[in-house]
Amino acid sequence: MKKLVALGLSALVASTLMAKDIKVGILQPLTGPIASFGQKTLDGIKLIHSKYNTLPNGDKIKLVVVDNQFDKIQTVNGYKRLVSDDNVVAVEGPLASSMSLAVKRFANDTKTPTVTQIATNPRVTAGTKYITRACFTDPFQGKVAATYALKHGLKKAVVVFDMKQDYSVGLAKAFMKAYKKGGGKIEKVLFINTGDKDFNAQVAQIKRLHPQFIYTPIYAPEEGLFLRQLRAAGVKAPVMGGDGIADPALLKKLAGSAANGVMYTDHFDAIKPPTPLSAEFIKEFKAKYHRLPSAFAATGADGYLLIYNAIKKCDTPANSNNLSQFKQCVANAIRHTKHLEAVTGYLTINPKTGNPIDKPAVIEKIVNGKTQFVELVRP
Amino acid sequence: MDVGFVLQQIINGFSLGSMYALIAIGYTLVYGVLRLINFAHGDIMMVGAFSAFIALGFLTGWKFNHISMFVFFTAVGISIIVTSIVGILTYVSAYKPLLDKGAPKISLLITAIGISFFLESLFNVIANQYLGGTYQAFYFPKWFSTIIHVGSLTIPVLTIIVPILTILILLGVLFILYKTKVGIAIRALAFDIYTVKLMGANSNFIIGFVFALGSALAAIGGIAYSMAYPSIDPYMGMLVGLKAFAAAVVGGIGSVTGAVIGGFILGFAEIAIPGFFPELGGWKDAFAFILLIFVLLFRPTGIMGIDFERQRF
Repeated sequence: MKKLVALGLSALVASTLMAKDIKVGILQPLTGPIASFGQKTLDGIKLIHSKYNTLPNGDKIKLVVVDNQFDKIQTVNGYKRLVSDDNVVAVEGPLASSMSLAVKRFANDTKTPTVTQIATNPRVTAGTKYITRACFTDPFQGKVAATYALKHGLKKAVVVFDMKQDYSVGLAKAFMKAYKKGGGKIEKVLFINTGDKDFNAQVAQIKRLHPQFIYTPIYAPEEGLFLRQLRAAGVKAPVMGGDGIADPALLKKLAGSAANGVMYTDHFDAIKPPTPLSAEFIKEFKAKYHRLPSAFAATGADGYLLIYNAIKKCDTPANSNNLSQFKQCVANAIRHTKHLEAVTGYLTINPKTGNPIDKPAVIEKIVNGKTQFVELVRP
Repeated sequence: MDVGFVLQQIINGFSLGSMYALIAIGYTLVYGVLRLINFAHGDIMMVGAFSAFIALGFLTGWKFNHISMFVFFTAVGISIIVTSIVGILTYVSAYKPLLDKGAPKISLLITAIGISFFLESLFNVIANQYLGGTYQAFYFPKWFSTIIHVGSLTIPVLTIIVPILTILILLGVLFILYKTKVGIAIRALAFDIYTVKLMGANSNFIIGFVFALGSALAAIGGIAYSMAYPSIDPYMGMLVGLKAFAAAVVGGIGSVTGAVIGGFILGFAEIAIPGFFPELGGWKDAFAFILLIFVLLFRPTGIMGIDFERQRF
């Protein structure tokens, strides 16, 4: 009997030693205005997690999913909960630059490695060792849009941005800088607020100015009603946005036929898989969810892969008993990622800036509520 | 800037203003009887818009094409009934227990904010679980967006209907208040709730009636708002509710006519200021509240300012 107990105990000890759970926090907007972005991201994360959840030594990665509701207070509360209650090793999220900036201080204070997979504002990763992104930044995205417009002879533009969103403010600035440098003329800069529904004042001004091009680095809920009112007023100039409007289904729902012809810059198009892993991911995603993965799903998967890869390097017996040491190691490993095969391409992080090097952008166009690939732009 | 443009702005302003007015009446009525700023009232308007949307969904099999007038007004009717019930439920479940225990007014105010969060979160869950997303497009018969051309003016039918409807509803509410027995009871209750109770009047019924009436008007306002800006979400009531509250205060809280006048003024300011000074377009929300401060500076009790201790409505 004694022997049996001892055997049982040792088996228990051995099993706990052998297979330990490592928690990774997922902080995304699963409800709220941009819930569809968060849900798509989570689909991508779950799929890639089902493929890569076990480390070589048998440890398992467990996801702790928290909804931030696209609200700064909920974001900070959720982040604190993940770090101090759930003791996660790393956090993926939050999506959206304004939310990532809200947790920046806490990431620094608690030294928690954080991968904000799709926050494009440059300030998010500046001056911190703990936040890293898995996507391109707004200066590049703005330049892609400006170059595209100028290449097509559209030299008089109006910019409409959302003054409550860091993403929108930053992207508008980046676009204007590149556009002016390329010889374009900014006729007028107009602003809106998150949650606005009446854009007639802005539309009336745009109508009077007759611009050749309208750049709208805002989010999809506002973009939908803006487009509807813009086209109803008879303005026919081409409209382009950033990755914040990359929700063709919502745009179609809110704008109807006015969504036709709208273009946006995005991170990934499923018809152009850049890596073998990417092709495999698209195939499995289609089998599981019966649709093609969006850029949100793809970058969601990439963010997870960055964390997974770093944990794989750092999951040593010495580290697993010391959470803060483990976290420090993971943070370093994420920043020193080199040529990691991911869904949107090969990821190499610049250790100083926390930005991936060499991430291309795609330009997409909405035709009858579906996206159409226009072109791929490399930096 | 021609006459046509000015007229167009005035018409648009009155149209938006009448939506605020419909919601503001609810604030004023409840304030009249309970001295309570019902901060959940903006969300009651959201409940009105969502229940109309859900009713339309059921009636059209979630296809929303070719909505006939009959189907649409059935949905509006269902929405008014559902929203009134929700309004009564908020009173019965949240405010009445506190009132019965003699809780201070500030507790009621906090409870109202709690109800507001509850309704927002509830409809957030409903929208995400069953409707497929936080944001929904609001559908209605095409006839409402038919455009009438008068000279250089382009006026959608909806823009004319809403103010007319609001004036009719205002007359209806005034009729109820001054010509019916319930109305007399409401005014008596507003005058002195304790004496009315002593006289044996059923104060619960009367307050319930006030909540139902205010909620029904909020539902109509919410549906009109969703037709003008056809995108609904669980948080739509927050800002609109605040503006309607500002309208009620500008008009003189406690006065139904004042609420309608305040609504018109606020809607007009919000449309006209960006219309005449388009550069200020992004600041339009600020104007509603700057206007509120100015009116209160010169008329602390609002435009239809009434001496609170002597007269109601």
